[in-house]
Amino acid sequence: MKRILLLDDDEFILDSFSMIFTDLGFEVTAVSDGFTAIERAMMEDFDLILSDIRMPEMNGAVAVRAIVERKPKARIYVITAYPGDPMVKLALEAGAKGVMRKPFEIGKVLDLLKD
Amino acid sequence: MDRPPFDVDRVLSRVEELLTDVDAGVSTLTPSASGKTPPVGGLGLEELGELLSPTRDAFADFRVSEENMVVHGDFYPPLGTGKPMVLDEVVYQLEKLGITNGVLIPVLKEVVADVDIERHARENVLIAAGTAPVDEIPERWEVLPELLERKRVLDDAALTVDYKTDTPFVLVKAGELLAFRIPEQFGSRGWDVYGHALEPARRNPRPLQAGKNVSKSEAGFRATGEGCLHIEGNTLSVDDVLVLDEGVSYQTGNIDFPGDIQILGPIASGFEIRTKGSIYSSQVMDVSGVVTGGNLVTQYGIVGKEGCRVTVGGTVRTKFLEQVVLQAQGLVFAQNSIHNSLVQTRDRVQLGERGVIMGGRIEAQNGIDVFQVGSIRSVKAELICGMDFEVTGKISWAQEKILLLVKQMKQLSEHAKAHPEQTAKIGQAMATLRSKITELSEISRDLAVQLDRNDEASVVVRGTVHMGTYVEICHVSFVVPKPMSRVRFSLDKKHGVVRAAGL
Repeated sequence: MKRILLLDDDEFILDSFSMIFTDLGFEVTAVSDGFTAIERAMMEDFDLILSDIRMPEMNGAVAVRAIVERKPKARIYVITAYPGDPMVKLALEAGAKGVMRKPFEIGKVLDLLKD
Repeated sequence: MDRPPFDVDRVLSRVEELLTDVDAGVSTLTPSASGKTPPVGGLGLEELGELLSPTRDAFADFRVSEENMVVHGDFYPPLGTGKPMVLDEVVYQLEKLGITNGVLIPVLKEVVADVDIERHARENVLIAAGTAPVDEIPERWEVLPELLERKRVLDDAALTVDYKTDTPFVLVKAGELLAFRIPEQFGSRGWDVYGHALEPARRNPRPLQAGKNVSKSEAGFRATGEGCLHIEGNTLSVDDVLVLDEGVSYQTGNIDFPGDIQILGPIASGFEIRTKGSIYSSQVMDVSGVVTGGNLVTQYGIVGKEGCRVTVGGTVRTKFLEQVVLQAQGLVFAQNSIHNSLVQTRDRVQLGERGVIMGGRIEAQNGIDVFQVGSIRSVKAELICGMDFEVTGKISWAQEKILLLVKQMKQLSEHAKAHPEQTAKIGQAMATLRSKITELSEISRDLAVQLDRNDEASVVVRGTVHMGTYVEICHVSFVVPKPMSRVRFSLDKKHGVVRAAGL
């Protein structure tokens, strides 16, 4: 079963995503802060990591950098309403592979995980 | 000349006469013993009545029309002790004038009664009418009357007429009956009001001919193809090309046509154009909606209104796109520019030699080829290729619905906590929502399998692409870090990144 780690400070996103993707047959780990996400990413292997960009304590770009430094093969996508956000560029430079539009794109997730 | 001297006696004499006259008059104010009203001013009552109230018999005037087919009459009541009108006398008068045919006796009866009893004058009354001859016409074909009527649509909700849907074009379907047989009309003689015979004419209407896309048989004229009914002279044809010389406006209304459309005149703002065929326009298309099953070719550009959507089953060729939401199955070619538009195609987007993309989002499954993207100050464009926008669109729709349902579930869940007595009811509703969410999720999964990708797709920039431009190929993202020139963006599948290489 493929595993997804979701990092977002929005509870609604966490709940909906978990419900939907659990239904779709994936194992979802949902966390609301960057520190917990980094910790979980170190301890476990995930097929896909989704991270919000703008969060209060640690932004997505920093979380991406921290994870990629420790796990270079991690497949991380950032979630944003606006791909033109400069933070997106930082996240991509830090090692994120791509961008998802808020709240998330079911089609994209399914496509990335079907390989 | 000197005035004559004042004659007192003469004046006094005159006063005496006057007083006598007044006295005489006063005495006549009371009836005399004989009961007769004494004369006034020397006149008897009858004479006085005549003087004060004139007497006139009732009378009538008649007018015959030029072609001797109708007679109108003016009827006036008697005055005073004048003689009333008599029907027989009126008829006699008409006969004296030679008017013997078509006299409307009931009308005359009613008019005479009105004149005599109510003392009303009646003018311009139709009192006689001839019989027109019936022309002789051989058997013939005629176009169905309903095809000749202009169609109008009433918007019941707004209680107004939607003039944009008012159209002068008559659209017919294949097999539709266009003209029907009218049997021979036998002629008959007519008669004018003088009783003169009028011989019938013999008409020979030009026979109806079947033109393009129309067939003629014993059963009638039928359309053999779908299109716009065209009647020129006596030829019926069905055009599978609608030519709009005057463009699109309130004269034409919105256009909904099965065949190709050529628009040679201006297109007024806010109109919709739908066709299963192709559209060619020689003007700027400023429309609220376009749907075409074929190609869309414009000599100038397409400007979108808020909410405007252009859906093309084939290819698009235009000079520019501005604030348009465009979905196409084939190549989208814009000679000059694409401004702040959402363009989605399952093929490529191609700009002209100096073509520019400014802002907006371009999704082209097979790649994008452009001269320049963005500028220093413009809104950043998003260039996406490699994916089938239709399937991703369907999945997005399912996702939207799922999120709404999840929200509902959350609200119900909170409500259940606050109102435990309603747990059963809420539980049932939540179960239904859950089941729907599962169904939509499964649909999304099935659709995802159909996601067709072209990982060879690339974005080619022959000039300059400005910093901040977002490029995505098969879900892998790249943000242009600085202005770059003559560059191709393609997917490095091995490393899962987008590479920028010089042309």
